[in-house]
Amino acid sequence: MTPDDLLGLFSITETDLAEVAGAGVVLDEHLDRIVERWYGWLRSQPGAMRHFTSDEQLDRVRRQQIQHWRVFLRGRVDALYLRQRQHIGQVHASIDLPNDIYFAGVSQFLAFITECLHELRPNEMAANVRWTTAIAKLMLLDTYVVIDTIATIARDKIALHAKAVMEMSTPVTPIWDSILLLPLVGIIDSTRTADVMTKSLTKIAETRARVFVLDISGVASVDTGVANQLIKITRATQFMGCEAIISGVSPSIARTMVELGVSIGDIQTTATMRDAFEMALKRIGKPL
Amino acid sequence: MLDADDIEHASRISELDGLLVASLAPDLGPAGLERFAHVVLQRLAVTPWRAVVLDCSAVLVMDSQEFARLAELGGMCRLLGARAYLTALNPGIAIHLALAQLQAPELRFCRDLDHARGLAEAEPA
Repeated sequence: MTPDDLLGLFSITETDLAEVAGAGVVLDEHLDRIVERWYGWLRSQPGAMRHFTSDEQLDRVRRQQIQHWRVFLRGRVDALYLRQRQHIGQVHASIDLPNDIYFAGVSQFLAFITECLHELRPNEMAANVRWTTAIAKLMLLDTYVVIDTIATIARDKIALHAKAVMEMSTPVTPIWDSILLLPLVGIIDSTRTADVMTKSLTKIAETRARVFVLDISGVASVDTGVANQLIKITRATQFMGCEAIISGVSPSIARTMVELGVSIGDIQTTATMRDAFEMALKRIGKPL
Repeated sequence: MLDADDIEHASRISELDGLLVASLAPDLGPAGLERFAHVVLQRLAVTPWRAVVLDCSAVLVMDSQEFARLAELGGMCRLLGARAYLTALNPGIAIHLALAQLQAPELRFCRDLDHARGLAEAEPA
């Protein structure tokens, strides 16, 4: 989103930005005091200081924070400003800063700014309210950019992990000349089925495998849906001219499939992987 | 529009070790597939063959209707005394057919020509 898009989304007008800049002129020389007060509040929060490893680091962050509020109170939202806030989001994500501390901290800072304005201009109540309202609106935008960056990083991490898990969960392996084995573990759903099919069939095409053993002894549970997914996988291998054997069919799975009325047609099944392997060797003309 | 000779040329129908091998062109389309079937059946009517290999190695995309036409062609070949073998389907097509739960009992699916020849030799006509 562009700066203008964000300003529009948060209903922040040029007038609001001018109000923020007006407050900035008054608050500028008091920012050190406000930030110091804010750190006093932070120290009182359980666990909040664990993110600072040394006094030097604390001083550096405090200086950066004063600089940030100085920039914030200029009332200018441009691409550079958004990039800086996104960078803060990246830092928060990397140190795993809890959202409660962050949101409470923003809220507390607004309260300190409001109090400071009332102290400095006790007879300008209406203008103070306008200024703090505009500052609050801009703080919301600012907080959104930081949190959105954290959420994006979290989503990317989850997607990366899901991909890694998916990669590990479909280990199609040649176990003999012309024989492929895929031990399935965990939950089988339509997404996983599509992935299994793609990887298995690509491997079959690459290796020109004649037999494909699908071991389901590690599948969490088999219901009608799972059984149908397994049948689709084996049918797909058969379309490639590769014979499919489903191994690892336990007595409980066999009972469930019969009770559910699942028809496996001409698909070969065995109780153990050993039986499947023996059958596969016979199929390729190399019996044990 | 392609005529029967063009289809035969584009689709490369040949004889190999007692098999009639008909290679499908990548983009026959419904009408082209119809004429392809016609040409194959004509060849079977003229000369008796035990096995017909429908080679799909050049085919990148196949929809359900095209597959149904090939399945029907397999049934017609059977009636003319030849077993039909479909070879070299690519993984994408195989996945599509499996997900669509399509079946073709009159077709035998093979990895390649050697596989088809092996099956044809092992099976009674």
